[in-house]
Amino acid sequence: MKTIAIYHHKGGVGKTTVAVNLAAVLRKRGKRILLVDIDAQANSTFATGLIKFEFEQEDDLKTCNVYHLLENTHLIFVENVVKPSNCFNQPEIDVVPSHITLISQQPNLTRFASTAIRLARKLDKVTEQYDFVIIDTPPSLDLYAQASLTAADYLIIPSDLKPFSNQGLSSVGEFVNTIINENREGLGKEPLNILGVLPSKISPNPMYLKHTFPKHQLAITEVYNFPLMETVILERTALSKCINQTILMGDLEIPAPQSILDYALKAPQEAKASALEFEQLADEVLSKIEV
Amino acid sequence: MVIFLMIDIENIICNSPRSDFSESQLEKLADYILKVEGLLQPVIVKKAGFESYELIAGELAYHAAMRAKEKNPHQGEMVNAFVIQEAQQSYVIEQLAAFFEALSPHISQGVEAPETPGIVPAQDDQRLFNLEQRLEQQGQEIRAEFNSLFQQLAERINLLETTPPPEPSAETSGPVMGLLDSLNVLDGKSLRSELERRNIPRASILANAIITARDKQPQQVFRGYGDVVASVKGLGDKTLIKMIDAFAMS
Repeated sequence: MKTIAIYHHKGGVGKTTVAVNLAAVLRKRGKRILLVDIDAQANSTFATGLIKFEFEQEDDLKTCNVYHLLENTHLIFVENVVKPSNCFNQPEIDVVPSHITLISQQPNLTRFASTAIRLARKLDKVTEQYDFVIIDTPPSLDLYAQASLTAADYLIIPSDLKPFSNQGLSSVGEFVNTIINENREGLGKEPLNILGVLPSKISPNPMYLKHTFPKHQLAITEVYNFPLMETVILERTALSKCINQTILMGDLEIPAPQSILDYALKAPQEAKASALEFEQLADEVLSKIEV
Repeated sequence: MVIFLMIDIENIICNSPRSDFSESQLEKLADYILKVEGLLQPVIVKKAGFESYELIAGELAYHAAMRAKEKNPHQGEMVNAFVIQEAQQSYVIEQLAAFFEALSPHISQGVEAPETPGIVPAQDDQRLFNLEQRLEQQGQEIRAEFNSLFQQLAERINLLETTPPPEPSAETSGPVMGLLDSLNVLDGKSLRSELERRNIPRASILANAIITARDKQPQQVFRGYGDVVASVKGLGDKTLIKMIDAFAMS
């Protein structure tokens, strides 16, 4: 089992899009996938079809989500909180959902000495059940980010490569080299392997791609000394459309999000290019991670 | 700097044996801890390694909390603890001793003294008595647990022996299939019975239409629900949604 965290502490760089669609494409290749959503915004949980309720009473995730893995050592395990995704991808993937209450619950966790390593310990118990664990993380340097990266073997940093996002890169590097790798050493694990910065949400404007983008790419390796991934995920409407689909049920509009790959089967012209980018990402990830 | 944290009690190393304290005292304190859902007398520890701590003071509190965890694992996993730095240790002990001394004329017997675990240096007889008491109690607990497990097993075996084996059914073997898989895999007859079982109206006509449409698909497979709606005659979005829901439920 290999664990990959999708992380950048800059928000809005396409973490969720990368996490859910990478999970989907690897699943279609027959890999057994667990997607862990540990971002309080619960975007991955939504994108995999687990938030279809309208009212709080129907919310079955509040008492059963990733927080419950972090708050104890021996009581709740992955098998107690995992749910299959819902009409998201064929075949479906396993998801540990997140919940908005993660924000208000964080102060509890900071009082516990072992919070940051519990996710790692609990994932260690499911190594036989999954080939890949993909973790969608919060855009911060908080305890949830710490728990995610401590549990991960590999790190993908999605970024639009713009100056604002790059400013965060050095603190990501420092975070990994200090807290994260110390935790991993304590757990007897290898240091976190940074697969690279993944150009994501890149403008498809041909002039930009020709003139400015190469300079931005170069800055990652030359100025910030981070490895750069070869795959480029362009910002296309299909990527947000596949998540924001709905179906009518009586008078209600129910969310019906899909992976870009399943959406591409339905709307090939619109979505095929994005789907191919994720196929390429899967190729690159598989080739860089010896399975 | 002193840090205040909730620590997994299993990560604390305590060098004083539990038999320093009387079992009935630990029992009573454990109940008090469980009632409050927390230990109000924080233990004092120092870091001994990654995720391990050595107990500096609070032996009675530690053993009482251990007993609380034995009694209720759902509540007693963590204890309140002051984590001190190695360099502070002598000052910490000094402070605790000063407080103990200041309080000692007033405190009732049975409250711990940090610098001398167990208050009275436990006599061998007393320790043996404590150990014996604990063994006796644990023996009783194990016997009770064994009896209740045995009872449950006996009931289950009884149930299995008295109920006839379930009729082997052709359908629903193995894990439940999603709707799309069912539509792609089942033959006309089983598809019809699956639809009927879930109270989908016009099951027989629908099953026929689905099979007819499926045979016309490339590789005789629906690639998605879009294919299904587009190609099955007389099947609209609403019915399909009903079907998806019905199949998702069972």
